[in-house]
Amino acid sequence: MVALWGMIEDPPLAAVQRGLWDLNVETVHIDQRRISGYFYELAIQDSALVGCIRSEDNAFRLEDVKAIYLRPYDWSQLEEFADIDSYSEKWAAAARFEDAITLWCEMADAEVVNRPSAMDSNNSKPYQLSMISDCGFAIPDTIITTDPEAVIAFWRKHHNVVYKSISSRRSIVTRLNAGDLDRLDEVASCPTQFQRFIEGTDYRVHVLGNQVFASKVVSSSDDYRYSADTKTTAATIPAHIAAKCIFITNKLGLLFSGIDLREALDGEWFCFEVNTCPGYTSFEDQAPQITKALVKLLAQD
Amino acid sequence: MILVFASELDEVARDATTDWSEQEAVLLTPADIFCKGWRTRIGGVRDWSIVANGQQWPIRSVSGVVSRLPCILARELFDIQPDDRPFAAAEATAFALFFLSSIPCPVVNRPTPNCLNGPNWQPEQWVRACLEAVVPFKASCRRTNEVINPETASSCLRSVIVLAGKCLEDTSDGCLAGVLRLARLANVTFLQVYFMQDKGETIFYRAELTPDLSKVEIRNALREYFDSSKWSW
Repeated sequence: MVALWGMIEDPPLAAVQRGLWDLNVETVHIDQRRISGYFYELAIQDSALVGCIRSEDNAFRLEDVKAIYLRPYDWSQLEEFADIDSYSEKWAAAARFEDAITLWCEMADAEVVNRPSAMDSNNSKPYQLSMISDCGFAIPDTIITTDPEAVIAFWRKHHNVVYKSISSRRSIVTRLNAGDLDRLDEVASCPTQFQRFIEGTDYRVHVLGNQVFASKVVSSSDDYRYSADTKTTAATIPAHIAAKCIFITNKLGLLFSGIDLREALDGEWFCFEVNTCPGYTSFEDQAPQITKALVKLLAQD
Repeated sequence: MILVFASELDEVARDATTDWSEQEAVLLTPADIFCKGWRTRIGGVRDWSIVANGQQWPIRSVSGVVSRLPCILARELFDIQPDDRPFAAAEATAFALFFLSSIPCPVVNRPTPNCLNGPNWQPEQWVRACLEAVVPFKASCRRTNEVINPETASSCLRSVIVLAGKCLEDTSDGCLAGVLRLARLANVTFLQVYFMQDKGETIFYRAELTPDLSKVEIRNALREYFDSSKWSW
């Protein structure tokens, strides 16, 4: 049995579920919108986590699950909890269930894509970027500062600089321009990441085990995720870059990753981020193959 | 200089910095992260500037860090507008993770990506580690609507405290070796394990990753640890 945790309207989760159904693989969907309605029992037995999860219409033993694919969202932001008092029992039950299922995904004797602890490196961009650098990838010169003078010095050095937030909260990568200098004092109120802008071609590389799926990204925007004209096409990347992508995926303890790369105009490859829970379906050129590979991995007994 | 990374409300941490005054111990609170003066660069740690106790310091003045915060809580960011606090807390936690994992001098304990002072292990993960470390424990079950680990009066508990492979306290009757193994499995420098009595047997109760700086022996041991590490920039 394969467990799917998340919301079924989430495109990657839905694609994987359809793929598993096509192969007649038994699945169980743990619906994040209904987390306050689940019952569970977990215990350690001979160093393995065993137990069961029940809802009104389903029940399964944890030991029967051979693989888990998780795409969890922040449950507290879901509309189902919008009117729920955060001191209520319903809220507390949801939080306890999230804790329990996270623990199960962490400890399960199953193929888990991906373990929650391995996904956490994405919570800090500079922390992850340091790891990326340690793995031998080139990274753009990067400062994190609350000092406007440091930003000005960095800008004078590189001329072309982008800035972004540092946690996993999404923010749009923005080019620093002369107009921003008037409000640079705002930097003092929160550490901000400034990075040398690297001109070149974007690639998104998805790694699943030892398989590499590369997409070339063409966009007029500095942050292609937010551009209407973004187009992706299947691409081939140099073997040594593919090997580094596999290496860093393993190093971060991930089975599946989405890596943002840029090939600079001089041919040097830079790595910006490893997405530890990639929403791969937006890369339509590669999505069917990735779904197929993911399904195969999850379905193997 | 010893940095004590702790909440603004942590009086014990504040007192410890006073006790360590001859070594110039300074409190680093989440509020400091939102002050002008931090200069960090990936790959260039020796030239960093930090802000602690509202003042800018060169990173080279830091000889050790004690981390007493597992994460930065939005509700403790008193100087930030309430609506902005969740975002600010996430940003500050992300920055603290980067800072505490990058600084090359001794850090007690080093952070992990989901906890700023060690591994964020759930009781079941400690139990599995106990199995591997041959530390006695009582099998328990986590169920819907059941709160795990009800508090037991600490006076009933026994404890073992280890720092960098050395014992600072042992009232457990023979569990020290197991606690040292647990510390290695958890990859932590500091670990305190509480034990309880169950049917005449001493069994694992819970683990604590935050040094209790109200105890003079722990403060002295930490100071000696930083001194003996001979860290030099």
